[in-house]
Amino acid sequence: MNRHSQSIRRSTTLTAGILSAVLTVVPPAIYFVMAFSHMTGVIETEGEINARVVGTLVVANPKMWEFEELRLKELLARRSTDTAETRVLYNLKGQVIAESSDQVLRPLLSQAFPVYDAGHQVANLVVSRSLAPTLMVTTLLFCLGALAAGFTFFRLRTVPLRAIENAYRNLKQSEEKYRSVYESLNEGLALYRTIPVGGAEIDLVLADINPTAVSVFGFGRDDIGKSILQLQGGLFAPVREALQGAPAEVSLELTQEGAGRVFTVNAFAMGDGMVATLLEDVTEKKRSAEQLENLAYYDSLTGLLNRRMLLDRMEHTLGTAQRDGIKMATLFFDLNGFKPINDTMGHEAGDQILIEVARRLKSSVRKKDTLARLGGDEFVVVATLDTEDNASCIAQNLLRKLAPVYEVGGREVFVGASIGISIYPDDGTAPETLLKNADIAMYNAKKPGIEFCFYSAQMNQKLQERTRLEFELWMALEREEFFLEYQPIMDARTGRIAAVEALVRWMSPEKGRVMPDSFIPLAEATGIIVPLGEWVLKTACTKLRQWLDAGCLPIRMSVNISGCHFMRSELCRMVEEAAEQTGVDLGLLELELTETCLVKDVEETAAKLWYLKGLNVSIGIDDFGTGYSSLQYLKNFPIDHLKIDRAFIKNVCELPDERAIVEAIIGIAKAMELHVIAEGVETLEQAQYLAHRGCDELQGYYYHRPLSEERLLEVLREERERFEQGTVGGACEAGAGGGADVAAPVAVME
Amino acid sequence: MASFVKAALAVTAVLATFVSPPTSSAAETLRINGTGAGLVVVKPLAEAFQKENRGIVIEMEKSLGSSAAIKAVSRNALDLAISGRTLKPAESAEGLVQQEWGKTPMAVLANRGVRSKGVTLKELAAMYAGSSAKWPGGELVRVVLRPNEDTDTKLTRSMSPEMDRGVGAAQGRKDMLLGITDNEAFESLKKTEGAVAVMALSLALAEPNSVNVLKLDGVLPSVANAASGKYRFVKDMHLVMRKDAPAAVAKFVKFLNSKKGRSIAAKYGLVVPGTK
Repeated sequence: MNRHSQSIRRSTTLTAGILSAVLTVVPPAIYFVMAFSHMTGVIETEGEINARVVGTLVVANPKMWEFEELRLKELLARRSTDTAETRVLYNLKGQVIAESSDQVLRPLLSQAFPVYDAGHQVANLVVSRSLAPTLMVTTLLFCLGALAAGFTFFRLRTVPLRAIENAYRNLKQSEEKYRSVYESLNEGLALYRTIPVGGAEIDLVLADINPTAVSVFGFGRDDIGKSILQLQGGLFAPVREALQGAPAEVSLELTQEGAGRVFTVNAFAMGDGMVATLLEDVTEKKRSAEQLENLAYYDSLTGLLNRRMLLDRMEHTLGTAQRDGIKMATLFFDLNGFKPINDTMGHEAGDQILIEVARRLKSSVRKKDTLARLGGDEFVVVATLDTEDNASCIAQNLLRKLAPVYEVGGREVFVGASIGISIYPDDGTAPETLLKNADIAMYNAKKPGIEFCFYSAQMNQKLQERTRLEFELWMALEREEFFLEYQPIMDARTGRIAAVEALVRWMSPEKGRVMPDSFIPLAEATGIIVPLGEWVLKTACTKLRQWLDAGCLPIRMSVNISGCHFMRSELCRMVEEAAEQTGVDLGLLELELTETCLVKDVEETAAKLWYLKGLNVSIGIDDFGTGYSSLQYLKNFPIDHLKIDRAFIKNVCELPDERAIVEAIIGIAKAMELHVIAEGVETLEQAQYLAHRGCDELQGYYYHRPLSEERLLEVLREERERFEQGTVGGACEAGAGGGADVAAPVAVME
Repeated sequence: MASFVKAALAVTAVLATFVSPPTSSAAETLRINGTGAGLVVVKPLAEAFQKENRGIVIEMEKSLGSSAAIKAVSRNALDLAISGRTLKPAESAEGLVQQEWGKTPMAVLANRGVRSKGVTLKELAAMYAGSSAKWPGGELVRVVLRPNEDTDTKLTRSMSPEMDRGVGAAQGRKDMLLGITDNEAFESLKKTEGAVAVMALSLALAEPNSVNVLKLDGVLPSVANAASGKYRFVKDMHLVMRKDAPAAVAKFVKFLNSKKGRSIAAKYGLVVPGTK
């Protein structure tokens, strides 16, 4: 490039120099030549004419003419122009006869003209003019030409050269920039020169390599000049083959067997017979891709296929089944007893169980079958069948394999499984459908005494109903279709309403009034119970606050808290928020929990209960006696009251066993200084009996059904009026028959 | 051999002087030239002189003018020069002597076709300057100039400041008529319609009726008017000769200053001092 630049510089300088020289010399030279010619011509003309005139005088007086100086002078002075001139007339001896001289500067241009007397030369007339003006103009033109030439030289040489230098500088900078990119490329770059080797075949000879090609791909500087076939033991021979026929770009993936490396080669023509190959080591990338694929398609814990890959495989298997006209079974596994192990022994133990289950299943299925883990404790086996009986066999076989004891953390545990089975094409033709139906069947298999269950359409119908109901519940929550009713709880001694229990109801636009038994289990199963419970809590607190503000006497508000609600939500924060928002005295709030929810996580339960207790909230156990009825929690938890389940009250007067249980419960409560409430009190006998046995409060239809807010407020007003009039002096007075003091019902049926 | 040839030639030459018969060359030749205005006066005088002096032959070539004639005299190419000017110191230094001869009026001469009888000096100056382009008769005024260095030009310039300027302007004008010699100028005057020039009256008198002699400021240029001083513009004539001039020159000069000589000169327009 530098030599080329020097050559351009020399050529440009030479051209500019020649042009400048021409500009400098030619105009003045042309002028001088023309002026000189003109002057010569003028002198010749003038001289000829003057010589003749002088000759006339000579002829007129041939003897004495030489003395006529004045007249000769006059003749010599005859000029046709004002140009300064010298005219001197010499005789043949060279003596001056006459002269007419202007002031002329040297140098002079002179010419001699003979003067004749009838053909005989008698004198010479010499006419001279100054060359000085011509030379001055010539010099001036030369100077102007030199100036123009200087400018031209600058324009023709300096400007183009500067442009060329700028171009070269930019080119150099650009080259440096790309060189730095070239050198710092993470990819190896090898440049080859193409050499025809006969016919259309070409060979590639290595011309240059970047540092990455050396450090990563093992090229050496001494490889430059070698054929591509000689490099790296002929590793790149496929590139040469691929480039035959001059394709624009070639992309290959090559594997270096010894090093176990994989790299891509992108070869493309660069013009001027050069080919660049871009080498990228994709070993790690491929490894990462494989890992990503594993993550994407395999379960990281068990190494089994995940749901995505399962569906993919099912597509393939379905294709095969359809082509071969055979059936395909989808077996949906859900482990039984896994959750308690996971909860009690920790996730590590759970993971070990899952790994072992996977191992056992893997060893049991055929190679052509598909085994996958969907997540949690759910597994799926997909197998092609000749008849449906085979599916039962597979299920039984797999259950057998899962049945043996598992050793986890030095302990032996048993894990069973429920299997739902769907069959292609009877239960669906799409993988998702088959999987869903197997799942539905699996729920059915959860019923006691069933280990596996085939899918049927009815199952799906139930599931759809459940799904619809779930949707309706969410909508109900959103549309505020829930409302509360309040069932009073009577003080057994005074007969006055001591508390009310808030009971949630649903007024469905389609179904009308829906009782809690129909939707609470589903709400718990779907998690709707959490927002629903929060709504109940806040609404109850709000109402209590409103009643108190309206002048009602303080009564306790009892709110049922679902086990799920208690465990899953931030109940304590919710209670605090409710108190803060409504301003209700938390001393009037009672939370009724079921025994089941208390025993799930003892430590957390205790923490929550004590926190609530710290907020001055009363804690009660609902449906006491039907669950665990652990005396331990009665002792350790800050329980304020027990509510004896209505099942025990129903026949308390008739069945000695029931009576014994009720008495025992009351006894334990009294011993532990707990408040006892009996629910489901429907008769006077029951009320009298329970009051007599020391039950503190009574709740049931004998006193009040669940009341609307308006009705409750009426009842409360009436009660207050009665007490103010002293009509309700004591429970015994209103009692229908027994000697025991018992609160009388205000109204039997509301 | 060479010495013998030389001796033979010398003897031959001596013998030749004795053998050759006497010729008419015994008559003395007097070579006269000079200003044209003077020569036209000298010509009749020479003829009269030669009648009286048969041994003297007067040669008169075409007029050379004063300066050329003076130079020719100094070079011994002439014996007597009739000069319209006095000698320059350089010329005097060459051994020349001069003698005043007479004066002739510088007359305003016009072509015969010009009907005017006279002009004023102002009008004449205007004609030279070119501001007066036509004669009253309608002819174009064509001024005939003399060389700048010529005595007549100097005399014409000296006539008045206006004339000096007029002559200067005329010499700056292109393609003017120019008479190098008196005779040339006179010839131009004769031939050219509307021509006008200031020249010696002797020229006009030498060829009677050839040109129109105009009054200047109402005064006719004549010998009488010049002699009386009525006409102011005159040209002096001088006789120039070498100190060692031949006797014939002195003889001719004496004739010129003689009564007869003066009379003939007066007839041809030259006022010689002492002429009545």
